[in-house]
Amino acid sequence: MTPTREVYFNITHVWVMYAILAAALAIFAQGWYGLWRRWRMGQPAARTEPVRARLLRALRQVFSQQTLLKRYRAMGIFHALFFWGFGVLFLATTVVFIHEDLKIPIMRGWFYLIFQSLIVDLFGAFAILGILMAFAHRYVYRAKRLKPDTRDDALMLFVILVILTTGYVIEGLRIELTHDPWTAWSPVGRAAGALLAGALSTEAMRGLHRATWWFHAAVVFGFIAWIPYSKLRHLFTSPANIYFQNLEPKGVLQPLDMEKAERLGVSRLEQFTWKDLFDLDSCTECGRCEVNCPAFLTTKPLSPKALILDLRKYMHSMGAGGAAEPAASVQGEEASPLVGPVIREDTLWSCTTCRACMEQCPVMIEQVPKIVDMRRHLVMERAEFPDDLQAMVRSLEARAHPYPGAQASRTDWMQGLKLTDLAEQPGAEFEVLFWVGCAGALNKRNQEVTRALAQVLTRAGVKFAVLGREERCTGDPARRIGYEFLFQQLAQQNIATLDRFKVKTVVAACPHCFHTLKNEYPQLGGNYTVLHHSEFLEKLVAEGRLKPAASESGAVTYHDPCYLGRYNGVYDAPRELLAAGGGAGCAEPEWNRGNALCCGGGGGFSFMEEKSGTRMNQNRAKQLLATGAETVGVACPFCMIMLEDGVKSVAGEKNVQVLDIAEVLERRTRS
Amino acid sequence: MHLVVCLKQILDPELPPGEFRVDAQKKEAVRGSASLVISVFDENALETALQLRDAAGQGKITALCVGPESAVDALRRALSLRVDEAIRIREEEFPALDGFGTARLLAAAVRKLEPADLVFCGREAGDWHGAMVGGLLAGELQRPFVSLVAGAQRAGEKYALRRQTDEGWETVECAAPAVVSVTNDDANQPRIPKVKDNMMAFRRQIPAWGAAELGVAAASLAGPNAALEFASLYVPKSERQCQVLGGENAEEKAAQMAKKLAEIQVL
Repeated sequence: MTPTREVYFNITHVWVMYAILAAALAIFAQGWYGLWRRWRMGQPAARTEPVRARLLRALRQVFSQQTLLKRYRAMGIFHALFFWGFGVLFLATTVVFIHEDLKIPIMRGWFYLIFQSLIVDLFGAFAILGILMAFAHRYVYRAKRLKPDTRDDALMLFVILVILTTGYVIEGLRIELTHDPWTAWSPVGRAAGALLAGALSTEAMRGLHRATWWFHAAVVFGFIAWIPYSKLRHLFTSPANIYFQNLEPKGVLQPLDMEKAERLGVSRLEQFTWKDLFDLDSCTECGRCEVNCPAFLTTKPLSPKALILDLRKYMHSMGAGGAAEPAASVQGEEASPLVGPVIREDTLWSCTTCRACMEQCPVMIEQVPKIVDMRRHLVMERAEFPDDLQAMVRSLEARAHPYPGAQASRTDWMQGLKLTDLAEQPGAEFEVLFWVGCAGALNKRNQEVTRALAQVLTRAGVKFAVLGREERCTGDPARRIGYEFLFQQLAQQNIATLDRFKVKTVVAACPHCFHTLKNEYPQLGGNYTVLHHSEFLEKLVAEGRLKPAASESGAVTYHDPCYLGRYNGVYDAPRELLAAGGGAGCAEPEWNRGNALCCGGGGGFSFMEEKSGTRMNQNRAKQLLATGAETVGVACPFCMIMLEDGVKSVAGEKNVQVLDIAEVLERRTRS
Repeated sequence: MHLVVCLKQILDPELPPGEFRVDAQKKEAVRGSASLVISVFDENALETALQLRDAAGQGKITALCVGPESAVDALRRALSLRVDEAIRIREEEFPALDGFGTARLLAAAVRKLEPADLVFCGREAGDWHGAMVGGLLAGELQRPFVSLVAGAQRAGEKYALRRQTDEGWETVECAAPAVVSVTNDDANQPRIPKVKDNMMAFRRQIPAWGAAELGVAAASLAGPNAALEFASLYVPKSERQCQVLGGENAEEKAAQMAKKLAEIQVL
């Protein structure tokens, strides 16, 4: 006898099931149509091509569940069990559909035994295990990132549990009632059957089987109909969102055409791109973004999760025609129904653009560009932004550096060093341009780093030059706060300068300059080979041009700057420099590399007083000091300022120094 | 309501001290790498006028600047902050201007712009800190002068002007026309222009008035007719001395410190 089973055993009036299914699918389609009309309100974005590359990448990322397994592993395992369990059950339903409705008899023989019986039976159990873990995580362990719990969250878990367990009840009863000869292939179902058979008569089992079957079918169809109306929609939107992910270098903001743009930034929801709107419906409310957000962790009025959910709620509340007229304070041409009424200004001004949220998001939602888009509206259309940042902007406008009141000049740090300053010697020959950066030139502590780096480069025999007075701010702080206009002015001036001196290779001592020069200047026609000083120094050590001695100091830890690590993936070079020459290695803080916590200096925060909540730099300093290190290695001037201050506040009696990796190397290469 | 705001373009006062140079021969500061900015109290004056117009809901503002060709940047900035008109007075036609000359030129321009209800200027320029032009301008125009104002409001037909005194603040009522000099306060920190206005400002033509338009002969302001003469100009030298004071413990050190401070007559 060929192994198989009767699909509609013990069931009559099967057409009723099809009728309910049709109704469920109609509700399902209606829901998606409503969502689709809302996404369509958005502006164009090129996020569909190239199809093949996107598809392969998305399939790999979705099926491996990689982001979920990277951090919070236990819960990643839950999702993987659940994802695979549900996936296999869906395949099994498809097999039934092909077998019964398309009349292609595939549900038989070995395939029936191995896949439709054994594998499905086991994966169903995996899914139950997964759902129980999820229950425990939410209601026993009470994971913070999942708060607040909603009624839907509970209902969803419960419904899924009901679907899975009733499935086993039906399977078990069928096995008992049909005296199924292949029960060895359905261990979980058989156990369920045996349990029920011990308590019930055959007649009762028949009745229970029929009732449970219809109940199960009804709940499943209800579940399907519910998908587009709840976060269950992520079953479809999340993989699609991963397909639509940004393929450009990380953290590159989209330029505005200042001459042609009709509006600057986003003041109404429909001014986001369709992909921005699609992001909102991809959110699974997992909260990974929130618990890694330096602003949220220091009780500032920003949670990346709440930001996305507030936008989503607002999108769902509006008709597909677009935003209702603004109810709020700002009237006239700059009135916004979105910025202020839906997303508060102080929320937008709490973001350091550190990208931790985007790094953690398993479905690749893009929070930071949305925040910058809304900042653009505030800064450029309304000219409303924090006073400290206004002072910074005025300084950038007047003197091309963001430090109002700076006493130093751009060349003060050079005193006593023999350097090639292109502003003074325009014809001098050089191989690499050392991009100092405003913080490196004007901030007292960072001047020491700049000097150390210049000395190390000289020791290695590098033919380098600096721009001296000709260097301007790259425009990074202007761009991150949303002042695209000023960014483009500064960038164009710098590109003209770099091109005038025929610069090909740039070594930047600041990750913010580095990122902007490397990844954003090409947007405006500036194309250079750009390295961060950690990369360049590491190359010099590898080539033997620098031979560092062993470290004599105690344990060292390293803090990953956001714009070096998360933005540009440079994690190893600075660590290798700290380890070069031997000695105490690098003691990793608990949060490191892509998970590193922001020092609180990015996105304009270096120029702003932290007015609300606790201090971000102290939060990070605590993590770094917990390693027991005596030296904190940094690779960014903003991190230097923030962490030196943070370490001083929390280190107490302990003497911990904050050193740039260039300073560490300078000390180890003194002859 | 017509408000006139007088702006001066000066060398960036935030130029690092190490980069500041003067030309002792010409008796002027050397520009070097310094940027040119609007004198800070003049920015407060402009902001005060803008706030007055915002609150009144109507009114015209004209910005005036006595300056060389580069001064159009200062006037553009004013246009980007939505003043209605901006006019440059050709400084190049009036060499060696002093405060008296500047006041006469501004007065001539204001007469051309009549009716002008309030004329605003900063309490003093951020380069020479002469603090004369406002008062002299009021004298030239034969108008009341209210100094050290940080806020202005309409009060019926008159204006309520909040001004700084030695004891604090007082509000005076003043009928137009008048001249007002402005000091800085939290309330009149200059605003940032909207980008759209900034770009519009770049498309504006800025008229320039010279001796012919103003009816003021250059010779009447310069040479023997000038009221001020500069004797010399130099950068004062500042020297720092560092002494380490001895002492076994905190008390001894404090005693040493007190003695030293008394010695150099700080205490």
